[in-house]
Amino acid sequence: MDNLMMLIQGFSVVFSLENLLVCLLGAVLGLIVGAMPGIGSLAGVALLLPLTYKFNPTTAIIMLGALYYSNMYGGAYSAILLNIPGDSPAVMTALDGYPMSTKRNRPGQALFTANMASFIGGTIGIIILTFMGPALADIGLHFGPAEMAVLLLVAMTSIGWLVGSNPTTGVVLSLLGILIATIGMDLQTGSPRFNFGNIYLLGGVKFIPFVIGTVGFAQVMRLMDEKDDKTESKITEKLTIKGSLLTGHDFKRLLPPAIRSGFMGTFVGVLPGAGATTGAFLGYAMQRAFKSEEPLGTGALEGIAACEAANNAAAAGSFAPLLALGIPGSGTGAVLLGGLMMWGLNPGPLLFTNEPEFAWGLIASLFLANILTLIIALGIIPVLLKILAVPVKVIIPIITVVCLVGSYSDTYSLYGVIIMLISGVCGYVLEKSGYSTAPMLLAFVLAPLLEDNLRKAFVISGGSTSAVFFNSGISITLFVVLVAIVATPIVRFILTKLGVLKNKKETN
Amino acid sequence: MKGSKTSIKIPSKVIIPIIAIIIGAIFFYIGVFQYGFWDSEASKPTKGFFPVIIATALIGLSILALVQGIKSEKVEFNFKNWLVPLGLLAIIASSYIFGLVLSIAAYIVIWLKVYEKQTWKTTIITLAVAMFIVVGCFQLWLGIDFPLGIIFDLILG
Repeated sequence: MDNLMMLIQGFSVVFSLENLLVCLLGAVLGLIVGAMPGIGSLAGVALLLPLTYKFNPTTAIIMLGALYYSNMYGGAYSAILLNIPGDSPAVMTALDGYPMSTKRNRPGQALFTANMASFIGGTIGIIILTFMGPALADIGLHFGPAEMAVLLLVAMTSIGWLVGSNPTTGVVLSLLGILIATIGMDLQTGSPRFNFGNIYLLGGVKFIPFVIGTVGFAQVMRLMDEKDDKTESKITEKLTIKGSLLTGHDFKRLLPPAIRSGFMGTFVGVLPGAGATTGAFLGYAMQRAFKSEEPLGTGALEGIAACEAANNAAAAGSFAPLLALGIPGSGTGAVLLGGLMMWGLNPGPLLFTNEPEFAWGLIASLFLANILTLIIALGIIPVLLKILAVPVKVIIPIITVVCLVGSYSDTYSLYGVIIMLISGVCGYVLEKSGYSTAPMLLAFVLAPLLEDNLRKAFVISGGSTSAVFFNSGISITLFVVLVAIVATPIVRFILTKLGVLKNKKETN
Repeated sequence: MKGSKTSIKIPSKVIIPIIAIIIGAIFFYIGVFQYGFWDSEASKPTKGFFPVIIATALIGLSILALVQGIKSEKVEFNFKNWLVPLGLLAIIASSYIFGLVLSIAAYIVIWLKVYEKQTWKTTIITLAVAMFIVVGCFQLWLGIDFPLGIIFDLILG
């Protein structure tokens, strides 16, 4: 009941004219960026982060939340109309979305299904978040520096382990991200560290240029491979809102998978490293166990509903550990967390107590963003084909310019642009070589928190390692999980060498 | 390092772990020998404590990644992808003379008209969108002052 009262207070924060307009702006921008093939939510949020400079922290994060959330809607459009997923969760949407719009000649209904399922999944996710967030925060209040340090290590390594094809490379980049974050000032002693005599590095590697480069600029470099690809749709009929409406029978088909996937997706979103993509895959896989009117993969409405509801629910669910424990579940979550920290807010167990206006305002804004995005998403159906027809070769110079001015505006100097350029080139080379950069971003954001907690834990324990890692049941459990995560790639490598396990390449 | 005329193959899965080992070694060395690891008098960690632990782990796992990467195939990099950072470097260099906004405008026109061979209509629409973002959003709305360059600085005194 307390949660509902706090949520109502959150709505009173959101219902100011500025916050409403910002939420609307975030929803529109997120939808457009999400709809454009090849950009994705991570790059979208990173590129639009500088636009929040104008606002106070609550308003800024409301905009970012709306942006992230509406991005999840937008990813499905190019998957349905062009068979090109706008982001990774939309890969599953394309399986039924494209056949439904081309073979079954129901493109408007396919888009409407995706929008409605996203809305239902998202609503379920946000309702669960309303209750789960504070509950998680209550658990987090029992965590001391030692428990927090081990939890952060688990979050970092598990994402490094889960994202990408090779656990070793994921953890290597996590560690590299931590080391980059140690450049600048040591916050506990106030003295310079690893600045190599450079005055610019005294302030550390700036978050915004770093993230814009690693994600946005690297993405532009990758887009050069796709610039000559045709993005013409096979759909010849004109899309209208009226012609896209679902029948009562369609709604009956849509609701069960959307509700099931909404619940499942939320809990997937809470897990570190899982996120919207895993949610969409599991949602689709789960639908296989249930009856669909048409076979999955042939344009079944149920297939679109299952994965779209799951990915939006996962996006909402991922806010629970982000707000309550300060631990993001994905690269996009890491960017959002970086945005929060940039505004001087420290997500964690005390956020709901110390900053209730902000925490509940953000949750309320997700409800609002969900409704606004649905309305806008339905409204833009008639012009979607035109938005999607923007050629990649035209998008490339525009994103390059956004990367440039976005990174410049953070530092008011070309230092930010240089950081962006270096991290962009490195991000491109790393991704091209099979190293996923999401764990590096996450580690970069969480590193100061980890160092602070680890050093406090060692001061409290007087230097005893066992007193840090084995001082409570929570620490011991988390430490065992950590060891398992770190040891798995090493053990797997040794077993493969010894011939006990088969090499992946050989089995394929 | 073989490749076609438009690309080059590089053993980046070997090079990246080697660079990571070097970075780890630098942080380890500075951490241990300049910042110290543990203050035994105050019985607390020093500012080198945390980076040294992370650098040690990085070196260890990078060696593992190196061993895994040795047998991996070389990665092919196309030259055209590198036009993007080259374009950005050209904007940075040009901004010292003509200012950032003019350099961006010139970049858009050259990229679309000369390199992509787009029509004037597409080029002008894209330029208008880019200028709306740079001047409208960043300069006027967010109040960011972009460098004017030597020429405009001289004219405006």
